[in-house]
Amino acid sequence: MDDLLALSIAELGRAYRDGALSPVTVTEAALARIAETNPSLRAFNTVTAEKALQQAEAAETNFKAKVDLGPLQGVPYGIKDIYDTAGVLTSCQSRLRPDVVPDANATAVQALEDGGAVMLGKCATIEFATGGPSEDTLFPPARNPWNLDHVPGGSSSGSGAAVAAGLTRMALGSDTGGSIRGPAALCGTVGLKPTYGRVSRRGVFPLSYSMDHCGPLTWTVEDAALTLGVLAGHDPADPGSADVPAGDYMAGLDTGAAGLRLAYPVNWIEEQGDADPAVIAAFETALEVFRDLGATVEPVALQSFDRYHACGRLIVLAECYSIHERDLQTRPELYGRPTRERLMAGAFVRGSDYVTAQRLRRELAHEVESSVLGTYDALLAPTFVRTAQRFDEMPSNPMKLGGMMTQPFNVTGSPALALCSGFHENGLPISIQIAGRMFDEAMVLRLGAAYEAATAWRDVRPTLSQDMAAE
Amino acid sequence: MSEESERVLFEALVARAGLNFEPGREEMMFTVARQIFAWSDAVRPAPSAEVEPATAYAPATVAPEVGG
Repeated sequence: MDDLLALSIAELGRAYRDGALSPVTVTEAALARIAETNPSLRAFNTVTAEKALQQAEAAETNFKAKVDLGPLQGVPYGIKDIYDTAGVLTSCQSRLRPDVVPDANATAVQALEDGGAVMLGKCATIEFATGGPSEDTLFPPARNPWNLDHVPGGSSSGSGAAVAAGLTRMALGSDTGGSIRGPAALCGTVGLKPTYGRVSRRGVFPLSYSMDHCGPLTWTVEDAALTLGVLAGHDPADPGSADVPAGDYMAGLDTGAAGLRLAYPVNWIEEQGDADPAVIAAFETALEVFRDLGATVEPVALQSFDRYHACGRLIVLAECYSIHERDLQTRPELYGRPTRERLMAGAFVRGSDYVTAQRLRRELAHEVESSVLGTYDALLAPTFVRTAQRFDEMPSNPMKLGGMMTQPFNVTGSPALALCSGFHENGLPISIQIAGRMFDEAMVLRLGAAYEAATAWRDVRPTLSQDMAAE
Repeated sequence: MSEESERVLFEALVARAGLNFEPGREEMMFTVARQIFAWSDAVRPAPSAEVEPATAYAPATVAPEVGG
């Protein structure tokens, strides 16, 4: 991969401000990389090359005039294709929306534009951020850059694939049951699900009103921190937005893990009957890394993983069904089959199930926030207990989620960071997630940065060109 | 709930929702429904009555103590 595309957001920012690099040069390199790889990788649905070059030129003009709009000025990025983008198709990957071009940007997109960032285009998603990878949607599914025969995870699939393959340093995703952390895990990137309410969801097509979170996928933890600094803030136009001041996510980033108390939910891990032993072994090795960094790491027991998972799935299914009910009845054939069947399953959730799940949610949020994180600084868990599946091994049952351990932190609303914690002997990435107290993204980022600095996983990139040549 | 009862419930919910499945997929959707019925059991027993539904996570909705 071009060395230019391997530079982090932080490194790019320094080079721009020193005059050593131009945003136009970097954007041209990114567009060339997309043109080269996207026919195989399918990470982008829509590439906005003309707009990107205009924004890059504007950033270059700003740098020359000593106008600085922030850490993302001149930085190319991608956007999951469920975020509204003014004048640019926002398809949700669906044949129900082949020509939906919004008039206005989602709040998060506008924050990036106001910060001088450079939009490369719209990244592939799983249709309506649910279902499974499917060829019967408006655009073909993104593929995993570590092995094109494997899925990149979902639903922010193109975002994960694009960041891992070096097409972009950052891409926006959304996370309702793990849709930022899942692709981050399977593609070996960083994925940050901020606290519920931390980043505005206005203008982002909903999957589940009370579970949706917006956040970034990046290659490094520092880049996630820089991006969150731009995205975070109260938005009165989002009913779920929290009126809580944004933090300084860079200030404590290099302060390490010494003296911190960390927990891991031992019973959740024991409950994962389909776990790959190599992934669990990698998680245990990651715990040792934190111990070596001077943290205390102890097991804790929580209510069962199944209870957290069931609570989350019932709420998501009921809420997404309410959004899609009319279309499922009147034009179901326009949905891809996995999406259609996943959404229809919401009809099997009864009203009392939904209310009971929402009440349980309070209890579970309390368990994590007060009972565990009242004592510990963060909670560690594998992100996935398996590596990415092959496309041709995806289950026919649309409810089989393939070893994700992410849903509990959507239930609790806690901030959670996924980052690469090694590679399986099959060559695919493995991931750990770090969950923290509500609105304490600074702690999960600090721990992520400490782990990242202590390991060498950021030095390894997928050799995408070899896979493409074999096709 | 017996499998027979689950099937009656499944058929009633499908009819109530006005859904049409792709040919050959009805049994798969019954399997999906049974998974959801199992999740319905997994979230019970219901929490104590003072735990109202939480549909938003502003700090004030998370902070209150639950169950004393």
